[in-house]
Amino acid sequence: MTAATDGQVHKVIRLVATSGTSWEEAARVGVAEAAKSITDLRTARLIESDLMVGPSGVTRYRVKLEVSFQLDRSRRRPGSSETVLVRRYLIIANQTLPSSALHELVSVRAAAGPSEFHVLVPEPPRPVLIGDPATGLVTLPAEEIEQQRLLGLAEAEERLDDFRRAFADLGGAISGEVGLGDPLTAARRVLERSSFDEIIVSTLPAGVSRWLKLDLPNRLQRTFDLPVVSVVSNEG
Amino acid sequence: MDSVYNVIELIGSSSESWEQAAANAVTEASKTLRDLRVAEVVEQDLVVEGGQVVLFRTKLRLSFKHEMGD
Repeated sequence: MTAATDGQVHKVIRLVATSGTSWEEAARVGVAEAAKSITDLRTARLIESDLMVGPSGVTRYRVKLEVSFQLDRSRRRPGSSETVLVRRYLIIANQTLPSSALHELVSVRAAAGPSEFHVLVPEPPRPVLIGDPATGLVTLPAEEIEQQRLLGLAEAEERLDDFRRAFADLGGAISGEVGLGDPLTAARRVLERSSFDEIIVSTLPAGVSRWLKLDLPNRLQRTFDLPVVSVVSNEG
Repeated sequence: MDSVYNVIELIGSSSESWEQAAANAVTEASKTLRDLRVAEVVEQDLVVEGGQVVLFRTKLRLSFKHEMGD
């Protein structure tokens, strides 16, 4: 039921979503999640719908959806038939998202020509467990660890929202997500479903930055064979 | 007795559900077609705007008896 436009390349991904109430609700959940990282989502095709059944009957409604999004770089200018080529940038940042150095670089890239940005905030590191020196037992209760983890995620979401607000004038050209897993894994997930021309990594200064200690910029460059630009700043 | 059937495809849409989308298509079809018995769901999809589902669509295959002049 969808019409492909001439000359465009679309990538198709499948996703599975569930809901306790209906297939429609499951589809809404799946689409809302996919839309966090894929701008320009227009339609989704229902590939399969099934039920998860327990002793008391139906427990979950499950849908498998196929969503597609444009992979090539040609974009139609709103209100005109003219197309432009965009450059796509993947920004990886967390604590330094508010830094002026990063904001300046984004402004420079945006001013250089039509561009799209996707901000990846990797999940903050899990709290380190501290054992009681006398017994060797971990004293931090599990609920507290989980709470800290959720707090870290909430803070990351907040920084992401602030960043997107700061570049509100870029409109739909900026998207973002908090990615689970370590930065390299989170980046791999993003690059599996989309493509970019450059990666921008924003870190704290060497010595303080965990990402620089992990050699993240070089590892990204080697792993994905894309130009990587490092931005270092004290703020955050 | 030989019979001939017409087969048509219809797409119904609804902001509520795929069921409602199918019902809308059947309601519309029954205004002009007689003797509708079974509608087969051929395809279901949805339309997204601003990251939200705005429309559920159901494509139906409807068959009805071809009325032959005799």
